[in-house]
Amino acid sequence: MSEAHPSPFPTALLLDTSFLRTIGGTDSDTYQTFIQYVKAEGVQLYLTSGVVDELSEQRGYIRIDWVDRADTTEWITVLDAVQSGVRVHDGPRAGEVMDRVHERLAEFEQTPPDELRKTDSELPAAAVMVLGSTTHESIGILLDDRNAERAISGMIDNTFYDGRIRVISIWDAIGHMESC
Amino acid sequence: MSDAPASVQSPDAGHTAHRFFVIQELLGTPELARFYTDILINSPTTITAARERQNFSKSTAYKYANTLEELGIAKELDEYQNGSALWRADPVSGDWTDEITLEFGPAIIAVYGATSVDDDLELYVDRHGKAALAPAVMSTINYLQGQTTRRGVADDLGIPAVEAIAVTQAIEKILAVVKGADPTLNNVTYEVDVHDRAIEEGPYQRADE
Repeated sequence: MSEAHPSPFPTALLLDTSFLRTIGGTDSDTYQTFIQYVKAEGVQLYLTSGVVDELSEQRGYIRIDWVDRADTTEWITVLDAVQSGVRVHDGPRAGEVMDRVHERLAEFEQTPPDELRKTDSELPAAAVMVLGSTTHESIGILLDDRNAERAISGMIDNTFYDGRIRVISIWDAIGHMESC
Repeated sequence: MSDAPASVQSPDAGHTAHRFFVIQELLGTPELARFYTDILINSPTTITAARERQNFSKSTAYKYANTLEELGIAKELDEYQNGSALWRADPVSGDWTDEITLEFGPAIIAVYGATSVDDDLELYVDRHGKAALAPAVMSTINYLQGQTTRRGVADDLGIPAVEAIAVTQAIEKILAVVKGADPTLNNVTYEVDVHDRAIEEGPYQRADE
């Protein structure tokens, strides 16, 4: 499950749609806290292609055009599609991470894997890509879905990525940012 | 002798019909449903406290209190707090059977009530109609039971992921607060904790927490 005390806080954050929805728009205190923290600490933000697809069909439920922000600012990066062969040290390859999380999700959703969307399982695989292609020592996945968190954390635990790919509850993350 | 089937109406038919009309009244008047829900989860409470929590004018609050009393689901007690009479609301529920059986109880009434103050629920109803909220509540309960992800709810309801995320986030804040006051959820165990800060942003608060 997510970390209750996410310190030291990662310098890279992978943002899920659920997080972007929760922090609200420019008139929201939570949004302002988040943006101020990111700029003050030099945190780099990442979006997966699956999240970008969802944001593009957001239909009025998210107040900020995050895809446009990613196109026009340096501190948000849209990641390319997951490259299955990427790995860090002796950790499992990104494709294997994605497949194993997807299997976990399919099992508990009781849905055939090929009928299940891959946005949740893409998140930890994308995190492997960020670790493998940047100098960040750890990356936080910010999402508001305890059941997806469980599937992701259950796969990451006891691998090289344990502690390096960290699923952080959005409210714990905001609490940390407010305390800085 | 006639072959016509015997009447299946029991002496309780009037009581059942009354509950039907009560639920219909609540589902059709979101602000009344919201006021009812606030009193239900905070019973016993004063009308003053309920109207302050829900931001109703004094006249509207007393009008709704009287309506709830006339409907037989709330009553003024012979007890006082700071000089104001305490009120108690009772849970009301009923089944509607068609292709499946839907159980309408305080949780669904609370969610309908919240459409009068929650932008996401209002948008969802605008786009899908009031009836679409009932399956969304059922799917959110499944999520809280740990049986699906928010994106799994999107698949169940046939809606975009972001919409499922939005509606489950809005509904879970309500279900977390209302569960203790809804007998139809007695046998439901939530595996997912809703964060206190999420609840604080929801439309209902328990005064004792």
